Order: sequence, then structure tokens, then C-alpha cells
Amino acid sequence: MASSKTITLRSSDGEAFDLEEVVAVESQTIKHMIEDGCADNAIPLPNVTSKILAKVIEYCKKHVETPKAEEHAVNDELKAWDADFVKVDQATLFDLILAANYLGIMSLLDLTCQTVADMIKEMSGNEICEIHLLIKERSLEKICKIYNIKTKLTLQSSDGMFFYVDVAVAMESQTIKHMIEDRCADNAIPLPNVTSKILARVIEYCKKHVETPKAEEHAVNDELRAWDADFVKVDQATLFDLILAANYLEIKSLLDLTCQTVADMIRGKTPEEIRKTFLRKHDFTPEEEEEVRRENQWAFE
Amino acid sequence: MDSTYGKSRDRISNLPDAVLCHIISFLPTKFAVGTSVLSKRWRYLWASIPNLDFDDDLLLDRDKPIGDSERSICFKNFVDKVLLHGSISCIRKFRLKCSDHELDSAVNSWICTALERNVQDLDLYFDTEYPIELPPKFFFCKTLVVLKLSFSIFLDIPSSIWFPSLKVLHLRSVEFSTDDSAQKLLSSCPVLEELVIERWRWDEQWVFNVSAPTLKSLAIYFSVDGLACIAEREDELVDELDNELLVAPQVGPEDESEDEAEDEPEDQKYKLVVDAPNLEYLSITDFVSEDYLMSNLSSLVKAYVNVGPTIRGIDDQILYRGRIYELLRGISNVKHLSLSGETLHVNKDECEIEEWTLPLQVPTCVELHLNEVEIKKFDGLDYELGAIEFLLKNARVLKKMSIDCRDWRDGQEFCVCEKLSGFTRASRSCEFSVFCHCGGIRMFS
Repeated sequence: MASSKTITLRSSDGEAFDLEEVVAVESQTIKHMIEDGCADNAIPLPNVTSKILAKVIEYCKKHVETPKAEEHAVNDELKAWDADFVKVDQATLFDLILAANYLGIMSLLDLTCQTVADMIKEMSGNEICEIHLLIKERSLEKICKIYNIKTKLTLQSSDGMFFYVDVAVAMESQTIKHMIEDRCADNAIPLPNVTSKILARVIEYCKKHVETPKAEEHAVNDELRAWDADFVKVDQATLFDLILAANYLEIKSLLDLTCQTVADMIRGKTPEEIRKTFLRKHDFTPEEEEEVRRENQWAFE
Repeated sequence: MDSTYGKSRDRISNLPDAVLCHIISFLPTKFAVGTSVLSKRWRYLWASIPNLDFDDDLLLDRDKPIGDSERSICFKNFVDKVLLHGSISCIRKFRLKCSDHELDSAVNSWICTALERNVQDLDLYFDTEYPIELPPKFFFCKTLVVLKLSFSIFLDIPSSIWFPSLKVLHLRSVEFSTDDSAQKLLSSCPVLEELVIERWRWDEQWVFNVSAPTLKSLAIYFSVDGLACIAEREDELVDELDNELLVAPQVGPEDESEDEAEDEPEDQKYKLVVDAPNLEYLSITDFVSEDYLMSNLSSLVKAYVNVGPTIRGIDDQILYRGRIYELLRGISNVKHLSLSGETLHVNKDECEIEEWTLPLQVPTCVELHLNEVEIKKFDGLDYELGAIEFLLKNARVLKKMSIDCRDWRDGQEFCVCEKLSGFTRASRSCEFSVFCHCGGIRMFS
């Protein structure tokens, strides 16, 4: 009779958990570590907090203790227990997905991902938006793909091209966000005002801004600023198209960036210079122009 | 002409009015009004923008010979005209930068106009010869959410004062009439969240009291002799500051022997008092205060501390060190602490002691809360290493320590890195990085 060996796991916040080897090997990752002889001391799990690790161990214990259901038979009691087990808040659920993936506990991964997939079907538009942000935050797109949890939506440009975009990225546009909330985004979203050339750029902008970790309060992200400055180094036609697209799609930061760029081009120039830059039509008579200049004299000093 | 010439002509005219206004809103009012002459469509677009930004320094043509008083009249007429223009009934943002003291009564009436039009964001920057006083109705503004006052402004706080909507307040070296003015001002802001206080001159505010129950973010820049560190932002102004104001009030009698000190009247000391239970972010750059009292900072998440002895000198090294320790103890709940090398360097010139005396008791913040330490301007001196060794030995939940050696010459950081890697660490999962001159980062696990 094999004596049951105790394995010690250490969570990211330093707590130690003792469990029997037979329970620990529900995790493929830990199983391999034991086989490779790396489990003599406590196994550190820097990606798993004590709160989540406790739950994972609870799951493994239950599944080890319950006698295996016979082939083609379903253990109803265990199923009910599982259903209760996943009745947790969303953040915990996503943390469990990450832990199950990292520890290689396939049945737990199946259970949690299926729960999320089912949740999304029932959700209101607002909740969907939040879920997609959580998925983006924890980089769960690949896992979600396996479980057919839709994390992308389709945008169609005015010239008929299709763009597949992460929902979290598309939500940078308030216009699209409202469509998701109103559940009008299940099929492709047509954008008749935006060409593929411009839409590609807009998506590039949104992607960069979603993926860059938010600058902490009182810190400015210099790298992002430099990237933005480069982003607007385009010809005038493209710049104005970007302004129109940002306005139509309601992407405030892009609208501010592009408008600021045009304002910087205007600033400090004489009216003649401004007209030259933007090829402005000139419809004042000389007398009218003189009148305007007099009206606002200091502006022209 | 290529075939797209016709199409690309007037692309800017394809934008809707609202977008054109948005573009104009990024321009100071002088340039915004300047767009009025572009075409009939643009003539009055500027007038619907609720943001006004007047700066008497802006001259389109710098070489134009225009006398000072003529310039003054011109500026006054311009501002008067713009404010008279009926369509801006509700001013959202009003910024006024003025260096002409002749205009002070006009300035007063302009501020009154802004207040009457329910201004939400008021930014006044005066560098006039004599400070400008604010009109009485200023102190009751119900609509102000953001207030920024810079330099030549004299704040005579009346006994009743109330800013019910004020969330953001920046005071840049303004003059107060009494020494409790600052605190009276803060007490009249029931929803204040962000406070920035700069002090560039010696004044009579011996005790600077920041007691604000709703405050979330506090930034302090007190630096008279250390002007270099903030001069990069206001180059011209530094030259113009009245030199008299840079002379420090005399410290008490030179004789420092302890027995006699008891008989002398207590010297006035500059003290900073902070009591802010909701404060999450604190930044202190302080080369003026000689004593600190931090209390109730139970919500503090992030702190940046850059303090050092003032030009007035340190009377007693041990006492001084004790005060720095008190400051750090007061922020004991902080999770992320950023310290400048200056802060660790508590022994200046005169003193022979070179080590950083380790506190007898490990501050709670270091033991239980400290997550991240960032050391900028690291010189590699013994007391700095001593401080780092202390932190590593005691910070049990330390996740990240980064040390900035970018000012060092290439390769110099080697021996320091060796010493650093030898220190015992209380926290096993600490990520340790040293930023080197070459741009590389040495990591230790």
C-alpha cells in the first residue's frame, strides 16, 4: 500500500497549503513537477493567490473523493456540487480559469469556461461590455477561443472590407459600445462613413491604447505620447478623415489628438498662412475682411 | 494640378461646425478669434466656444514695434470685446495670464464677469510688480470646480468663504494675508479631491496646515534655494522673482550648546502638518519644512518623497534625522514608496557622521505594506546602501525594488550590484532591477 505523500504548495502571497499527493496530481503541472523530482520542498505558485488556490484545492479534493462515475453515467451529485462551486463573482471566475489553465486541471478549465460561455448568452449589453474588459485584462482570448466564447466582432468598412476586432478594442468607440449594449453587434457592424484605409488606422490606434497599461495617476506615459505623436504624422487628407471617423465613432481621445494636431498647425500663423495650408476658400470682400480685422484688433497684432 | 486638387481643397470645410469648434477650442483665445477672418463660415465659430484663454504675452508679430501702453490698451479692448460678445453666456474655462499691473482694475472686472457667467475652471497667472487682489464675490463661487492661482496674487481670506463645488486646487506661490489663511481656504472646500501647493519664497507661514477630509491627492513643492529642480518649468520667472524674497529669515542665535538653548525663546520652525484620511497619493518635494506631522493617512497608496535640509541649515543632525523618520512613519500605510537619494542623504557638509542611523523600530509601513521601492538619483554612497539593506531586510511583502543608476558612467554599477545582491531579503518574491547608463537593466531574482 503506497503511503500517501504530502505535497506543500505556496501561493503568491506566501501562504502554504498542504495536501495529499493524490489530490495534488489532479494538476498536470504539479504532476510533472513531482515526476521530475522538483517537489521535495514547497512548490511556489507565483501566479495563484491563496484565495484562488484554496478554491482550486477544494475542487480537486472533491473530485478525488467522489467515486468515478461509470462510463456513460453522470454523477448528478457531483454536477450539482460543480454548479454551486462556480457561483462566484466574475473576477474570481476568471482567476479560476487562469489558475486551471496554469495548473493544467482540464476538468476545472472546462467547467469554468463553459460557465462563462453560458453566462454571456444570458447577459445584458452592459454586462457583456464588462466581461470583455475582464477577458482583455487577463489575456484570456486564446482560452475563450477554444471554448467558442466570442471575443471578437466584425466591422465592415464603406468599401466592403471586413475587420475582425477584439470586443474590448472595439469598445473604445462609444458608438460601437452602445451597439453592443443594445445587442446590435451580433452580426457584422456596417460603417458606411469609414473607408478601409482609415478604419485600419483607427483600429490600430484603439488597439495600442487598450493594450498599453493605464498610466498611473499623476504619471504620464511618455512612450504612448510619442507613439501618438507619430500616429498623426500623416498627410492632411488622412488627418481630416481620421477626425471625421473619430467623430462618427465617438472615440474621444482620438478626436482630441487629431483636433489638437490641426490646432497646432493653425496656432501662430497669420490668416494668409492658414488659408495657404488648408487651401481655404476666401469669400470675404476686402471691405468685409477689413471690418472683421478691426473688430478683433488684438487678435491680429 | 493633380485630379485630386479639387477634392482636397477645403477638406477642412467638410468638417461639421461642432468639430471645427472643437479644433478652435484647443487654441488660446487670441488665435481662436484670429480664425474669424478665414471665411464667412468661420467668422463667429470662435464665439460659441465656452473656453477662454487670454495671455498678454502672445504677439503674432514679435518684431512689430508697439509700445507697452498701446499694447496694454489693445489687450484690454480685446478682452472686453470678447467678454461682451453675447453668445458665451456660460463660461466653462477661463484662463488669464497677465503681467501688466496697470490693468488690475480691468482684471478685477474680467474675473467678476467670469464668475457671473458660472465659470467652472478658473486659471489666473499674474506676474505683475504688485500682487493682485481678488474681488469679494470670488470667495463665494458656487460653480468653481477647478481653481489654479499662480504667483502675484494676494489672498485675503474673508471670515466667511465657501466653495461648494471645488474639487481641484492649485496654489503656486501665492501670498496669504495671515498664517492660517491656507487652512481657512481648505476648510471652505467640502469636496476637495486634489491639492497642489507650491512655495517659492520665504514667508510667514510657519505652520502649513493641510487638513482636508475629502482629499485624495496632495502634491507639495516647497523649494526656495532648490529652485533648479522646478526651474525647468518656469525659466523666465525664476529670473524675475524678487531677490529679497529669496533671503531666508535668520535662524536663532548661532550658539548651539544645549544648556543655553532652553533659556532662549523657541525659534520659529517651518512645519508641515497633514491630516487627510482619504489621501491616496502624496508627493512631497520639500526643502523648506523643518518638522513634519502626518496623521490619519490610512488610505495612502502611493508616495513620493524628496526632502532635504533647507538653506537655513540643520541645528541638530540627530533631531533632523528624527524628523525625516517621523515623516516616513506618518506615511506608514503606503504601498508604493518612491524616495529620492536626497531624502536618504541626511548628512550635509558640516557633519562628520556618514552613516544612516537605522531606526530602532522597523516602521510598520516597511514591514507589512511596502510593495514597491524606487530609488532615483542614487549615488552609491554608504548610507544609501545602508538604507537599501535595511529596507530589503525588513520589507516582507516587497515585490519590486528599482534603483536608477542612469547617471553613472558605464560599468560603474558592477561593484554596487555585487553588494546589492549580497543583502538578505525578507521577501522571496522580490523583483530587483538596476537601471544602468547603457540603457540596460540588470535584474536579480
